[in-house]
Amino acid sequence: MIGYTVSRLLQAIPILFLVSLFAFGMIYLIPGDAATVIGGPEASAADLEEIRQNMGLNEPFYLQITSFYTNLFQGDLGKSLMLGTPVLDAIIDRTPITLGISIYSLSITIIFGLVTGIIAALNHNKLLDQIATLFALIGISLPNFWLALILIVLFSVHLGWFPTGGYVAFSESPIGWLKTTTMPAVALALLQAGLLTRITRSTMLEVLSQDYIRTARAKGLSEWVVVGQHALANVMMPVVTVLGLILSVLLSGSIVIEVIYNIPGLGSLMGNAILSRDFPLVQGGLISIAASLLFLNIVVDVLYFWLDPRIRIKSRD
Amino acid sequence: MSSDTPILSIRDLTVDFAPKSGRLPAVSNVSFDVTAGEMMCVVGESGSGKSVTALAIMGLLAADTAISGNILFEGRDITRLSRREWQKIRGRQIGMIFQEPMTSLNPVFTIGRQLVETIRHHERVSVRAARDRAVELLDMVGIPSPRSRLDDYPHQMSGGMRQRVMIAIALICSPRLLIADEPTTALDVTIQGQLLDLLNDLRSETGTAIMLITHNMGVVAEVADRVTVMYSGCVAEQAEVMQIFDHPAHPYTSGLMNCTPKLTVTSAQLNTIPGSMPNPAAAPPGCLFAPRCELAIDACSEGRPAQVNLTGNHSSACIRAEMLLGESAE
Amino acid sequence: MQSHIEIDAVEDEPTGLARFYATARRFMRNRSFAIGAVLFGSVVLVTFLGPLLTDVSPNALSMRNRFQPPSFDNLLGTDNLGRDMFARVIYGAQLSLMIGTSVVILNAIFGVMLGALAGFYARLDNILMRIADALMAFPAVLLAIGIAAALGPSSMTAIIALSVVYVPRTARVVRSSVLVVKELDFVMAARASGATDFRIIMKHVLPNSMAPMIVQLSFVFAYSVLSEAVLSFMGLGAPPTVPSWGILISEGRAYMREAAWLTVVPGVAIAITALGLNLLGDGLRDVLDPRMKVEEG
Repeated sequence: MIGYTVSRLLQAIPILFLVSLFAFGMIYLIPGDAATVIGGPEASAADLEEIRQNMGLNEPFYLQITSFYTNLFQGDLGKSLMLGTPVLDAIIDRTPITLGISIYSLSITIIFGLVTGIIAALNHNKLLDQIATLFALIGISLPNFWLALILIVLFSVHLGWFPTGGYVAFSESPIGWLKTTTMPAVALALLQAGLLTRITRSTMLEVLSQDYIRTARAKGLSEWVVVGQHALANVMMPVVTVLGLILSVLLSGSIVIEVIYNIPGLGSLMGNAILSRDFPLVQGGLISIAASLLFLNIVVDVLYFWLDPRIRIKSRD
Repeated sequence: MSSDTPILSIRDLTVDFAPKSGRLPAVSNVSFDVTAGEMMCVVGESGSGKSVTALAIMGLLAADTAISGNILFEGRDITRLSRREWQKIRGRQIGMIFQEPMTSLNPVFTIGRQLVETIRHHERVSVRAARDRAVELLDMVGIPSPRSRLDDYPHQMSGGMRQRVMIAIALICSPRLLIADEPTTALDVTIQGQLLDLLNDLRSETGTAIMLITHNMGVVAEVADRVTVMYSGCVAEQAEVMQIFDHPAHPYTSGLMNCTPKLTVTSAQLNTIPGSMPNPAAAPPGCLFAPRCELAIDACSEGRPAQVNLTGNHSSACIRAEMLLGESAE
Repeated sequence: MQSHIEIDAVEDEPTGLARFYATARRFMRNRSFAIGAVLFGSVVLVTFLGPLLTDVSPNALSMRNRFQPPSFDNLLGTDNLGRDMFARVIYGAQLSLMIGTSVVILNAIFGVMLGALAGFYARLDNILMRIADALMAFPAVLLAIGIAAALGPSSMTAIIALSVVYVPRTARVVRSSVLVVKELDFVMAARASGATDFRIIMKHVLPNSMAPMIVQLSFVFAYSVLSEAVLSFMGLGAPPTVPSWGILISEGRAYMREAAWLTVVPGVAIAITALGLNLLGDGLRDVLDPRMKVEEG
């Protein structure tokens, strides 16, 4: 178990290196003079010079890359151009908000996705299956930022149940938090719930056709135990492995969703950084988000390893 | 109940997965009995409908399968039971062992859990008592140091050991009937023999009737009391085991016996029955075996032959059965 | 080998059409494929026949006809500047399909090339797959808008950004089927008889890895349509003067109270296109290879 975890962490090192290299290289994608693009049309010569100084664009390439990595190893992701504060601080500041909404959204995803997927599989090719399959398909086909806007029209403008945007911290008012985060969480959950429904359904169908399910029935166990214990225990494992993917999709979505709902989280920070060409912030954000996702994927893999006796015990013996 | 009264009596069982397609049903008009405490072997090639018959007895076929005829278990027709009533019979009065020991146990639960949950499902006992009982059962089916194996997962055991666990699970409630669907096919020969001996011993100890499904006449010769030979979803021949081997009354039965490799006879090649089972979508009009039969005559392709009672319990679905019997008697 | 192909061709010719019909029937019998084909087919039809149905230009202003709800004159109403929404949505469809098609073509070329190389050469495999892992470590849309931000907004940017995001995923799919196909007997035989690697890849490995790739590409098309909408909604795709679907939604957003159709219509257009493509992908997966698994996401 420990050996497995260590080997997974070691495997992540070259990937992390490439991730940081891509983020670093992003600045060289900018056509022409990077400082002019970053500064925008109104920037004066002095502004541009300051940007160059700040980002080290005047230095020779090898110095730029060595100082980038020296700083990175010291946990220094540079300074945000639009905020004037260290990138890492800005990211750490905003993360809890996004984390809270992500967990909320993930709970909706898991409950909805698992339940619908299982119901669909149990009613294979019947009406309920077709309805669930259709819902899942619509889920993965609707643009979530568009759904976010439609939700605002319906539930804020017409019904007045939720505010059109803004954010209230949970510590300030749990009700306020629920009011401001429910629509974003639902809009975010749609796509992943569709994905999870499809994965759960196909996995469940496969599990239900296995010999050990027939054995469980032949033992006289009730259908509830057969499905709820014997089948579900086997369905959970492949489902756990897609958690990383689901989180990645969720973070993707949070950029535009947080901008739309005006939530001061990591997503809108990244969105605004990109829109205002704040490259140090974009680079830092890309690196820290990719690194956390890599780490989460390792956690998920280790969890899977721990859950599945077939792998766990083989490695112990 | 005298020992001759059947505990399981199947009458005109027909199982059709696609009733409107015009295809041959998976099982058609099958009738046979299993009497208390006997070992009844159902023999046939794969696809002959033996396993489907077994699943029909267990009520484990898909809900939309068309089933007609009667399955009388201890005099009660179980084809019309509700799902809940089925669950009371399964595991409790009829146990079943499947062909694939490698996949028939849940890979993510321990052996102990799979035994204990079944024990506690059928009997109101504590976990501790159920575990003790599980140890007894594992001991009974010949698993060494049973207590320490309780916390093993299926993949930590060999195929033979897993099949012993399956037998232990099937025996939990001392069922009146045990259906064993090719229990030894996936195992190697030495283990096969051990398991057959085990089944035979258990039968004489507990008085459980066993319906053993196999395609191997060697297995039949070793353990059977009575034999039902199936071909293409129909019963070809039924008899006591001695009658079948001494006086086969259906060419298919003789064919099956010739296919079984004999260690005593040195033969250069393995015999096979030429041809293959009829395509269910385009079945011949008469006897389903006629196209492969060396003894077929014109009359064989005129209508499906009916079961003919020969001597005592011996019956055959071959129109030339009397002729065959006469030949072997000479 | 040459003569073998000629014989094949001669044999094929008379039955070509019949075989096409037989194949088409097999596909259309799959419900997902049939519905998907109808949905996506009608999107393509309307996109290309639409300009014949309406003589209005997508950018023709008409201050008198602002905020007209859908009517016979303006099938989908008009926007804040009196521009005809039907013409604008059709223009957006052309753009969306153009970008989607380009991304699919780039995915087909680079995904197949890199996937085949990785699957065939173990040494390259390690490097290529680590690069793919690194690119896939970024959330898809975040990476796409990051690249788009650096390159500056344009349709070309969207195509490049989305290709960088999806090529590694396609390459992985191709690679895993190449890994399987490469071990098959006939490929081993070709190898043993001295065929070059390039020839084996082109003649044996690729044709046999086609099925999962085609399925993957139909999903890539759907993702591209959705992601392009996000990019242009954020102002990182097509320039704001071009009525792409994302830009239409972003423009309609300001008038959601009084003219909801301005937001609803382009969103529905995106959804129908993506739904059609996803259904096509499901259907292709069922028909071509029921046991196949394609990476979602």
